Amino acid sequence: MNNTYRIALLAWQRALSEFRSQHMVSVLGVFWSILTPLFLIAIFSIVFSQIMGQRLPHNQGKLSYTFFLCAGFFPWLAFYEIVSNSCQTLQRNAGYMRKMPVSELTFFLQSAFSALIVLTFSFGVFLVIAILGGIQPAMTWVYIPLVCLVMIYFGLALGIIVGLINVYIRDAVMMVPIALQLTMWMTPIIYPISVIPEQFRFVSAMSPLTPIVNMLRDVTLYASSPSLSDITSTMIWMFVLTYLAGLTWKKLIVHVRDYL
Amino acid sequence: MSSLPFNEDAETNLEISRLSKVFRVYDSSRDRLKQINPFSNKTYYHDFKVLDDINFSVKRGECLGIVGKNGSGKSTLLKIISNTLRATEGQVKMKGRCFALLELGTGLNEDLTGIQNITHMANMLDLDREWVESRKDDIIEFSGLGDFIHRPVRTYSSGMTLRLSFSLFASLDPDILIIDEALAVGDTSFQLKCMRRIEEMIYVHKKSIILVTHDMNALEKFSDRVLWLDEGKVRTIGDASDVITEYIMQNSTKKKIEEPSPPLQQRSNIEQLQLSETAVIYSSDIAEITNVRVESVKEQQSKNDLAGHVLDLCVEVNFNKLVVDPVIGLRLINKDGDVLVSSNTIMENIKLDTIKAGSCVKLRWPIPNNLVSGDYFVTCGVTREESTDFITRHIDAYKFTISGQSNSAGLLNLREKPTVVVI
Repeated sequence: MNNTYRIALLAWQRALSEFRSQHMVSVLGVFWSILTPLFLIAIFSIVFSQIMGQRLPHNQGKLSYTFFLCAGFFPWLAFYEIVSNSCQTLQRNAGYMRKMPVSELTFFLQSAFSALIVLTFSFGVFLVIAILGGIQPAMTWVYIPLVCLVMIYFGLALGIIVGLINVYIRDAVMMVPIALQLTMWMTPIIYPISVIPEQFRFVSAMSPLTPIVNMLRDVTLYASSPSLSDITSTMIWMFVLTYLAGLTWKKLIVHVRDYL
Repeated sequence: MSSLPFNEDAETNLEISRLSKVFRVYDSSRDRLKQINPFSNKTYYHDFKVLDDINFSVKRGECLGIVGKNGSGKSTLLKIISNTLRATEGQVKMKGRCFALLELGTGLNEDLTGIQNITHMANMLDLDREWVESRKDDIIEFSGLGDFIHRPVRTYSSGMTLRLSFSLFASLDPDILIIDEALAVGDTSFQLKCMRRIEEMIYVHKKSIILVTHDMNALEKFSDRVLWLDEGKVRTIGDASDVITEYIMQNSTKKKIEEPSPPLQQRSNIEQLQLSETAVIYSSDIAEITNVRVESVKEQQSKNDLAGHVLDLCVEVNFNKLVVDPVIGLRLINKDGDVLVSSNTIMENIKLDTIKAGSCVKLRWPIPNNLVSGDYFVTCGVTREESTDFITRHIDAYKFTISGQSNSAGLLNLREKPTVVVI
């Protein structure tokens, strides 16, 4: 346990210094963490609210679609970053592993923490804009960090799986972007689930991210607690992903360093 | 090979028992995919045994050298000991902490400054934070990087990068330190500092050290014992100079001659050196060393006795076959094994080009004779420029004596008296 804590601490320090060194070289520095989500929100509003006039069926506010999009999109982006980063993180950091007794877990956790830092900024910016745009802060917002952490955890578990497989079969790095695209369109991130015909909704249910995105919207935009069905499916997915990641770890970790 | 029960011997810091490492080698990436198929029991890989049943132990304050050709498994062994690679079988028992200096400089983060890298490396190595903070000034001072310590590592020269990582490792307080080809760091003064630090670790702080280097002089100087790794197996382990000599012998051509070369007629100031009892001779039919002698400009006092101001070391080599780019080397050691001179024709920028069969090469090497009195041994050898294998080598084969009184201890005789002024 003590060991895991040390690994996590090292991963956190590495993520922080990575974040710092990224921002140190730019003129605007840490402001980019605020500017980037700000620009994204601006683009979404212009494209969807102004040009395409996208509205949600049950909410006619002008920015309603933008907020709907952001609540799902930023956490998705974090998930995407973790999985695609994790895929090659062992190869990228092989130099460290050859020289020092660093656990492989460090680098997966580092991807997760990096994404967490970025998500904290982007979701924070989004919440501020949402308040300015007329969304009432609600008690249910206390669930936001928890649900975001679950999203990060899913990313970590899947990242470990693809990262370890990619050491043995390098094709994984080609398959991951495709799989991620597929997951994004299976999950109601860009579109509300209501636009999907009833007979195709099972596709959304196959994405582990669907219940998380639903819960995030519930607690952020609609001030309602997570629904029981979403919590249940999240728990099931959590169990499945943890089991799969554990299994992959157990099977593949033995020879990983031999192939790096 | 010792296989002491670990707990009973308080002096043992590291014990390796029955250690093996097998790599799985796949012919193609498709085979890897097939191997994953859970419905097939067929194996699609070959086992490649890199280390095979390695057993040894290292005591407190002992320096163990490891020699072996490229690919003999040295690096794999070190990686397993330093816990960066998993062993297939066997055990590594260790007392205290172990740090490994493997291929310096590669663990640094280019974007961070020198100081930040110290903290970063310390984190990676799981060192106590406060302890690192307290040693930071030491590390920076040892590195001699000055203001560069505040600049990103990517602006460093390669020498500076090495200085930084060596300084960090040298300031650590390990119980076992592993050094892999890391002795040639930076300029000579820094190298000397590193040597001092290693000596201090061995002799003063009684740390255990595992040293891997192709520099046989350094190996002989530091190691108490040397382990010779050959194709993943321990070939010999034992007294440093014995193993090193045996190792060099193996790498040379293997015909051993017992007969000393025929002596030439002696002139008054020329010392035709006879083979000494310490001699180890490797020869081949390609070339042979026929004559080694020392000539001193001054008249010698007696046979085997030289005290001139300049000594000329002369070597004659007969080439029986055509050799492209041969290199003739000389080494001079004293009776304690300290290397006084070690050089060869390449190092002196002399190119011998192609030597035809039947030619004789005569080499004369003047060396200033500031040596303290005592016995000295000459090694000479012939090799090719592109290889490390010796065509012929006479190791510590010729002995001569410098007589007279030396006023100073150490290696050099200071001929001039010191002047002292009391103010």
